Amino acid sequence: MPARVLLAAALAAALAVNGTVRAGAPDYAWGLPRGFPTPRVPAANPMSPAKVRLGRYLFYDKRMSVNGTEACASCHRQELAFTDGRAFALGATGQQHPRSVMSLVNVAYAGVLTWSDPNLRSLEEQALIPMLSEHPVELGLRGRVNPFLSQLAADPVYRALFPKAFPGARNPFSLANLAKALAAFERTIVSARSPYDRYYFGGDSSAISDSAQRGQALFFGDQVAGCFHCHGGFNFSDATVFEGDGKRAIEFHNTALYNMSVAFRYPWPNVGIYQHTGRLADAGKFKTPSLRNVALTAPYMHDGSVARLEEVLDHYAAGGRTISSGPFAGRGHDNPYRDARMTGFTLTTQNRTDLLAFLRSLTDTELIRDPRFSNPW
Amino acid sequence: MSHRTIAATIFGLLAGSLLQIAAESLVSQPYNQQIAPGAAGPFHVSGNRILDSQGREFLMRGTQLTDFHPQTAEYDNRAGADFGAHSATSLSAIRLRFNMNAVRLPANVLESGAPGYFAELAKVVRRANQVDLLVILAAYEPGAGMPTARTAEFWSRCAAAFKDNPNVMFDVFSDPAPSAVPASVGDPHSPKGWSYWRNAMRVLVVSVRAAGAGQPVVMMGWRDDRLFEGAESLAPIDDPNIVYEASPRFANTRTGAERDAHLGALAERVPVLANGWDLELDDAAACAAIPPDPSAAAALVEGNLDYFDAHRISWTVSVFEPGKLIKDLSFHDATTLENGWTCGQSVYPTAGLGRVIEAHLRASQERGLFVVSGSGGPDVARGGLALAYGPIMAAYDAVRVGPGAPPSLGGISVQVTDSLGVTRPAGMLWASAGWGQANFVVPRESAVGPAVMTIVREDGSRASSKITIADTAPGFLTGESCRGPALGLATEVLRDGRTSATAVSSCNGTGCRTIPVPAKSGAVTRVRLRSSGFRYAGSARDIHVTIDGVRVPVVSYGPDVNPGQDFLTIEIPDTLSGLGETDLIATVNGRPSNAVRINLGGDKPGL
Repeated sequence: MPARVLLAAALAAALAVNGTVRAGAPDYAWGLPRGFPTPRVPAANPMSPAKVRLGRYLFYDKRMSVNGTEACASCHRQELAFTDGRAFALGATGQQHPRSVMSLVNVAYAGVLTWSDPNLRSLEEQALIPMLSEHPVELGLRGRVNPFLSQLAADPVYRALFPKAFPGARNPFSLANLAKALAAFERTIVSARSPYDRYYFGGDSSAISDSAQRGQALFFGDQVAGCFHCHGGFNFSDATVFEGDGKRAIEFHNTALYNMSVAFRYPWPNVGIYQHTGRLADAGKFKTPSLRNVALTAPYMHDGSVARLEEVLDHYAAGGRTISSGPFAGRGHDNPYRDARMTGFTLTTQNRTDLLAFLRSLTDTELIRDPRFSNPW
Repeated sequence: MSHRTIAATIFGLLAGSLLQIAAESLVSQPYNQQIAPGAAGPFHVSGNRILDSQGREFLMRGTQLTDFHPQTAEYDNRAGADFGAHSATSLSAIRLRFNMNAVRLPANVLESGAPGYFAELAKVVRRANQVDLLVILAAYEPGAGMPTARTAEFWSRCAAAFKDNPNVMFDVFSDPAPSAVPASVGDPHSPKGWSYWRNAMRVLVVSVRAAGAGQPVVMMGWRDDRLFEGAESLAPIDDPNIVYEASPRFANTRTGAERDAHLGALAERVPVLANGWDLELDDAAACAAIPPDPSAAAALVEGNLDYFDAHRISWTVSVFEPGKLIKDLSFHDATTLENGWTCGQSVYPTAGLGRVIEAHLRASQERGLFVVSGSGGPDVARGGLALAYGPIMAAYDAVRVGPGAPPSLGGISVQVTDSLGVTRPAGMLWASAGWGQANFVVPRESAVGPAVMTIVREDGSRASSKITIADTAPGFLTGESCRGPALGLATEVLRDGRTSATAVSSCNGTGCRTIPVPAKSGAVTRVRLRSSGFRYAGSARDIHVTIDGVRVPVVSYGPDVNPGQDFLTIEIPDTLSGLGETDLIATVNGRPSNAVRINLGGDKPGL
């Protein structure tokens, strides 16, 4: 058995999170605001303040990367709502990731965790990918896990934090525990203090502008945009799960970004969940990201191919993107796997202004300055 | 049956595109919702007030209809894919959807010599009166800046034709033009100018009175931007029933001071009607005076409305035609400013002030939740159907399944707090995700009067709307947004005792149509109509049902098995056999229902 498989199997056993979820430790104080349900938490990794604290230190620790240049926070920058502002992420060694960084905001409610893997639903398991991946190299921890754990065990900060986070463990300095701590920290990054939240949940009618209020009506209405069908609910994503919401399928959507004259109509390797399902009808289908803080997370789409929020609206209004020349040329609206909702709609100049005002009202400026999520080092 | 079909047929009474718009606090609604009092003439003037037959002040809150023309009278009364501007359905929408109580109906005096002219005009008036609307008959004389003998002659005949109708007023001359004032008179707004105007109008008043008509006469001031400027010295016409009318433009009524100068000062002395005011967004020059931001433009309109309310000024706003007050004549949805506009251009759906007016008259917020009954009116009956539009924001679309009405659907519930402060859960019938519609049953124990309905969502957020609960709020169910063919079952009992039953309408994906009600001579034909808001009528005698204006007997009424719905059974008199498709309207406790269509088959009597 290859070493990679052995490692994966061992970690899976250690994490033991698949299929069993429950709310965090009953006494864990989430401090969730009105309208925000309790996130699902794996039974094997109950929430605790100590674990969250440890995870925060690890999240910002650049020693995790092969050359000491990057940490998780390098690609998940707080000021950009935990994205990196790039079309494609760059690993510690300069290798480029094929897709855009997803925001970690409200990741506790994410039903699936990446753009196009319907099976990756454990934040603990996902945390391992940037550490250990080689194609591309992200943090480059593969092959140096044990030295890194030894390094942590020798660090006075971690010598205090790990045992508190995992009390009773004979040796708390394990890769599995490292992933659990990171996941616990990431679950606390909840965005719920935007002007829109004050307006909608707090009843403060002056919290957002008249223009944003008009935009809200467009967003949640069927007459023009109907955005809420995919970006609905408190988290503005149909890929949202939480404690007690029952089991339901997570939807993925082909938003007619491309219609190339190749088999999958989308540029390789970003052909959506087809890579996992093998069904041609799934070509070009990606997860619906949350729109919370969307004004901070440009560029947009799975491949960062849409630079500005205004262009995103134009794309949906047109019912797909038309690329007139070059290797990606094609009329997205004609993509045979296009989501049926991508019919297009007419936006007046006023509608466009109002929708943008609404989307910008989702920006949580307290989140991006919140010291609980900032670099502790 | 799919959810979509169920929604369209049972719950989709008003499923048109009413979607209106957002803030949920009721802080900016300082007053309760009020039903605009229906026309209850004869009216008379007392000081600066118009009083009805009961001595109550009557403020006109209405709109202008499109011009009456005898040659298009039938077209203007059409019912099908859309409804003529003078049809009972359209007039019913003015009364119920917009909560208005008056319409101004322009008539060209040059056409009045056509045979049957006044008989056709009377049909429009009857349809309007039937839904409690006052009709202001407004004469205009093309090409004449001031009235000529033709207008005087018109009023001699028109007043004679309508002298016994307590619910009409006579607007004797539209748009008197300052340019028609002789140079020798000078400034139209000088004492001499106003005297000139007074003398010309007085001739028309004399024509009306000479015909034996005592209803109030409406007199329009100079058609310019100065309105009644300079009229302080105007000696009143020696007639007790005069209403003064102005056509203000927004460019000249932006501030309280401007409104005082043009209207307010006059309104302290005499009753004033502000007619025809509109944002005129399709007129590049007029539109230039309007703030380009939708909220600012809406605030300008609201400023006028508040001023009119405060100064007891009557008004007839805009025109009830597509692109003005409403988007189209199919669903009568109000125009909106929300989508912006380009001055001087008219692009469907045309921007307009309709929704601001509608929200004001419903005491609801333009972007907030609002509630209507099964008839589309703002008053809802206890135990009856109610439909809320706006930020419903259910977790998912949901329709009730099985008998009864559950307390929650789609992750939302509705609470009704009545005038005694008692809060009760409402039975739920339908809930939309997003900006949409929620149908519910008003708790039958609710006290009548002003109340509040609140949507409570599972995320803890809420949205509220003021409502008015009544014992009755008659409405007929249809398959198309409370208009068009009625829903019900016709039963014919032949002399030999055999019976047959047929539906009175059918619907498919493209719309609904009436099915002729069999009405054979000698048979007894009854129609059981699906309805709401009738069950607490005192007795069958209190329910006044007309078909084509003819009262028909009510056999029985009461709660139906479907939550919130009632049944109303009427008998079709032989005299109405063979009438064809026409209007059916009910009135209970002074409130009209929505106008719906019914088709009476059989042979006409005597054939």
